[in-house]
Amino acid sequence: MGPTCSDNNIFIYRYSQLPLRLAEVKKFEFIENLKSDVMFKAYGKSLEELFINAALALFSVICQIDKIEHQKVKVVEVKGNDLGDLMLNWLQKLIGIVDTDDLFFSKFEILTMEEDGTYLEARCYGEPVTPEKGETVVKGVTYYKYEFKKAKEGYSIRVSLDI
Amino acid sequence: MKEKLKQVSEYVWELDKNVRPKMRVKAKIIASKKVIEAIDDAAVEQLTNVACLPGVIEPVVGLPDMHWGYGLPMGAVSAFGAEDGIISAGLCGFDINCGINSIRTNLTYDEVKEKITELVPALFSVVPCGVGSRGKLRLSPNQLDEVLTGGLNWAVENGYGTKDDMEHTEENGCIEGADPSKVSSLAKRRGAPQLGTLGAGNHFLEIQRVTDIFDEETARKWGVVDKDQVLIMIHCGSRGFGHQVATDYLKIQERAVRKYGIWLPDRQLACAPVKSKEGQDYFAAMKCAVNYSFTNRLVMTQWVRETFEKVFKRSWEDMDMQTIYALCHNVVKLEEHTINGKRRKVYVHRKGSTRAFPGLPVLIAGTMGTASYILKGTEKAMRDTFGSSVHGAGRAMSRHAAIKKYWGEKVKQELTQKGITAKSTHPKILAEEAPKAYKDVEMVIESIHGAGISLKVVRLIPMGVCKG
Repeated sequence: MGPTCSDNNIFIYRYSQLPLRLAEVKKFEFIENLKSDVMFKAYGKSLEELFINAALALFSVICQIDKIEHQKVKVVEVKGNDLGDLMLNWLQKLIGIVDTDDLFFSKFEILTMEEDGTYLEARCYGEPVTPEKGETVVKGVTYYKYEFKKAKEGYSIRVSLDI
Repeated sequence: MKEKLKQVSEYVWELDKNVRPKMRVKAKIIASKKVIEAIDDAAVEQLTNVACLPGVIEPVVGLPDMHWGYGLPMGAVSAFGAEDGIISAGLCGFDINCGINSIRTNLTYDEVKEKITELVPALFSVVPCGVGSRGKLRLSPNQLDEVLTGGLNWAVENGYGTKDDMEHTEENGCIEGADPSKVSSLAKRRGAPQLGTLGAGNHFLEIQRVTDIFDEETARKWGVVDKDQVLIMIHCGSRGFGHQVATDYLKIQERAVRKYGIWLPDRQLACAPVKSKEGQDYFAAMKCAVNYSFTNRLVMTQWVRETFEKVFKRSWEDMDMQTIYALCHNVVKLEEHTINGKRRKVYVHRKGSTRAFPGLPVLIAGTMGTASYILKGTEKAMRDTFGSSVHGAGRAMSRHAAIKKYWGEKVKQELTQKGITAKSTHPKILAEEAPKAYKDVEMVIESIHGAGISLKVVRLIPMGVCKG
């Protein structure tokens, strides 16, 4: 499957700005759930879109994503056992990169996506970490109410983050 | 589930093991009636989940600061047999050895108040805070391994703190059996640049004033002699290093659950039999994070001392800036306890829970607008809670809900009105950590003091706060 580009600058919400009036095309939304620190749902008509939108949701928790410029590029490879596993590994990998590469990301392109969930390669755009543009530390992606769904019109996931 | 709680004494509530299927042992909550009313029902149910795990020893304990957490509530302790139990990365949580250091000074409230607007920004600039914050240290892979195995031995050898600090740290600041070969290279790459950083969220550096001394003899022993004496509290953990160790082993132990045919009521309770490779490897890796975190807090302690030296133009020794105590409140420990009259080795999982061994300090963090406490552990804690106590006030609402409800600038204003100088990387963190997002710490302390698992020694209120 060829590269997929997405204009990530539309419909991006910071989780401090809830409640949201969602646009017709939802990339992601935060779920009101007092029991978990942060829970979001991400959507995509394709797998590529889903993985991009989940990453956007994650970085809107980590940093002020709308202020992050595309100065640096990092290519990321992730492996998985299936699509659900690949998604968790993707999000965990991105959390790790904030620390190892000192980067906040705001735009993602999927270069390769194996539909059986065994592999993905992505290009991530961002800028070096500055604490002023940070929001909060995400400690980890949890299994709490984790869900990866395929529907007629596309895909959705539900993820809870420990912050 | 709460309606099934049976009150057995003023501060003890029990859940029989027949309140739901598959429970192996009873669960117990230490709390006053008022605290019980405030506890989330889902958190109570989580205690019963843990009571279903193999080798669990009666009882699974909920403490009065308990609130819903992933897998197990924060503010809970559970023990598992060293022969037939499990070790769980899920039960310990992501922030391994999140903990507290308390440092005394011989400065008075008036002396510090005069300098507080200079002191707080100076501390804020010397202790790196916020997401992705990097420290001033640049560790080589070998040096990092020395931190992981040596803990505070590395710190002291490299000029951070003294032997005296080690003597006043849980495990003397170096837990034995840490094995860096059990830690992923990713965890090490995340950890290397972050040693000596505070991070974000509920972590803080606080300047505090003594308001009450309840037990003069014990307080004197710990160097606290006067009301209005100023103390410092540092609350943080093992940063990206510990988060990655937890993430790695949650995955490994999730596979172990299937491999060993363990039935789990919640996937987040991933665990492995104590004698399995997946269990022992985690234990050895977790210990690396424990040592990393002890070192992290002592490195920052030393920078705090140096900052006080600059501001007050006196040496830190002259200001008596000694560690009162340093401890962890997210950890797995192999300890010996008396179970049904017999001494047994058990793996104690403390999640949002402080060790409360007889006579030793128990450090409890309040919120930025309310009191913190130093208490002492008791024999009763050994009998009732596997030698454990609470870790803080405990959240009353999620961070997400707090951000929606409070506005950072307003929280800062309210703190200023209370005479508290706060500085954070951005205002939102103050909203997330608004004092009203937490339970009333006084209620929590009344419960543990009343139950006799820790006794009040010193009460402190904040004067200055640095937050990620």
